[in-house]
Amino acid sequence: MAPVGTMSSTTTASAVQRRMELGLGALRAVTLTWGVVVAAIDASSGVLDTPVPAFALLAVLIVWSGVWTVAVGRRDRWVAGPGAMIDIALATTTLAVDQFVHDSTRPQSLASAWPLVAVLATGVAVGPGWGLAGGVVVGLGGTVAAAIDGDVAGRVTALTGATVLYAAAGWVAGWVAQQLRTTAQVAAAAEARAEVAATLHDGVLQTLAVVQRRSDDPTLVALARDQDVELRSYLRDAGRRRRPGRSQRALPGSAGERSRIAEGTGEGTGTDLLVALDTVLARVGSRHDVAVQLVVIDPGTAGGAGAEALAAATGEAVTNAAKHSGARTVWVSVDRRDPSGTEIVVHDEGTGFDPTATPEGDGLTRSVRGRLGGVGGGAAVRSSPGSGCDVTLWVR
Amino acid sequence: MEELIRVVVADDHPIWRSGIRSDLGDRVEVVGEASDAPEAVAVVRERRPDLVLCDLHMPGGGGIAVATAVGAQCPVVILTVSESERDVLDAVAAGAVGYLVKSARPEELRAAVLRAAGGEPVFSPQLAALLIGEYRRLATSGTNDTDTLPLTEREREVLAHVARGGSYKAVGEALFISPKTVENHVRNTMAKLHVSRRHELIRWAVDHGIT
Repeated sequence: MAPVGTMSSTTTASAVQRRMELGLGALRAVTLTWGVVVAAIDASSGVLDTPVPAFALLAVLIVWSGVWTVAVGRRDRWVAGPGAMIDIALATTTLAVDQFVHDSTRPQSLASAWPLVAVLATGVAVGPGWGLAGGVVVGLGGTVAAAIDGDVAGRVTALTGATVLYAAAGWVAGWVAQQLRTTAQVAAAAEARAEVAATLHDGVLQTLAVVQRRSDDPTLVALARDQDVELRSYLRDAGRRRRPGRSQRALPGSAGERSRIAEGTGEGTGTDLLVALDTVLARVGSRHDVAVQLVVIDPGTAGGAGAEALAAATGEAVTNAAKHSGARTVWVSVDRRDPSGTEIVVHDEGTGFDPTATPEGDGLTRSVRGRLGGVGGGAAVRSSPGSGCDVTLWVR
Repeated sequence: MEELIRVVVADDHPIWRSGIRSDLGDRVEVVGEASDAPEAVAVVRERRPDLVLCDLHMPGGGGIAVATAVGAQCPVVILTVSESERDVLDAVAAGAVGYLVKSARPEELRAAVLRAAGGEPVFSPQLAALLIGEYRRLATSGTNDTDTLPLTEREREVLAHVARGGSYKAVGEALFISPKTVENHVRNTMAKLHVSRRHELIRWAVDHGIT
């Protein structure tokens, strides 16, 4: 009975295994205590014909259970090999001896449920297949002993049932242990990955910030800015999927206060819009060499086609500002509308213009108004020469 | 020659400290550096700088711990990699005068340091947006009785305009007030946050039997 290869898995899985086996060690102690009490009562009442071999066997089981539990605690590897064989041998012996030490009444099994615990331990330590085999061996051992003792005739059903139960118990124990190990391992791996990802993201954001601040190469700065935007939108997306998410790094001293702040401002369907905006603004910003600052107060309720139209219209408004205003920075702010909807203001402090003197289509193209009108929204321009420009875009 | 502005820089990444040091230019003297919050507090108490530039995330409590400890003695400006972090609000409530994103250009950093050392809040549209969200939260969460903090209509307007990216000058023109008045409104909204947070904490403590 060689140890099965899957045992040499991660520390988490083996920690789960160890805890299960220590539990079984405790169960051994309980069954043996009960077994000794019962044997003592039976011996004093005379039901136990031959107390000496019975107590000798109990003593062996107590010693073995102690050795096994200590070995499990020390993570000795022999538990999964020779240890399981000894368990099955002792369980079989116990069932056999049980047939001979009592008189015909036999009110209780010797050593109580200890043989069953030994079969469970085999399943947990070596695997469901070996647990099944061990259960069959123990059950058949009991049957053979009963046959030698000569009273099989009326008990065929009971003995067969016992064999099937031992086998099933061994298999189920092994299977459950396997599932628990797998689950624990998957959970630990996911946790570790999230931890690594968070640390990595933080480091990468720092590095991208350094590049944006300190490089003189405009291509490199643009690249860093794009990557920055992409990583942020990925993080935002991943954060929403994992909700309730943790912030990238735990911050001692503020945990209680912090998490509640974000919740008040509608979480609704804003994800679509923010992801679409990130993409559009990164593209426009790098194409026209303008710094686009996105400020989200509340994403509002825009979603689906409305969000797409709004993001596209914002892209056009920012492009206009970049081309005509002369401003180096364009601000895009997002807020909800009452009672529903989303409003975006594109603000620049460039040259400005007189909207009444500019034919429609120049300040704000017909396509923008058409697109927003199609989804129940609209657009308005406020500007005057010398004082920048505000383009307000909304959907309901 | 003008007097130099004395600054303490706290960040757990040495490369950042040296980067900031070189970006600060010749009107600023870095009189101390620290790599975690307790060290930063000790350095600030010893050197008494005009301004502290402090990373939001550092071992030992980060920028919030530093703002809480020394915010009353000298202005603390928080540096952060992320603009959307709500921790920034906690830092402001703890006594920081504002925050800067780490991707800010060197000239922006210099301008912000000069303003902050002169007693102005370092107020970005992003911070205004966070404040608006926070006040809405307070208004809907029911913890806000009329005596604690409600913003005036004017303060709301100012915040909304600043959140859209308007400079103090542009906001002032739009609302027919002076840029100085805009700045005062901004300062008041931050002070109210500070007060309301403390109110909230005290209320929480009383509700939970901690007095």
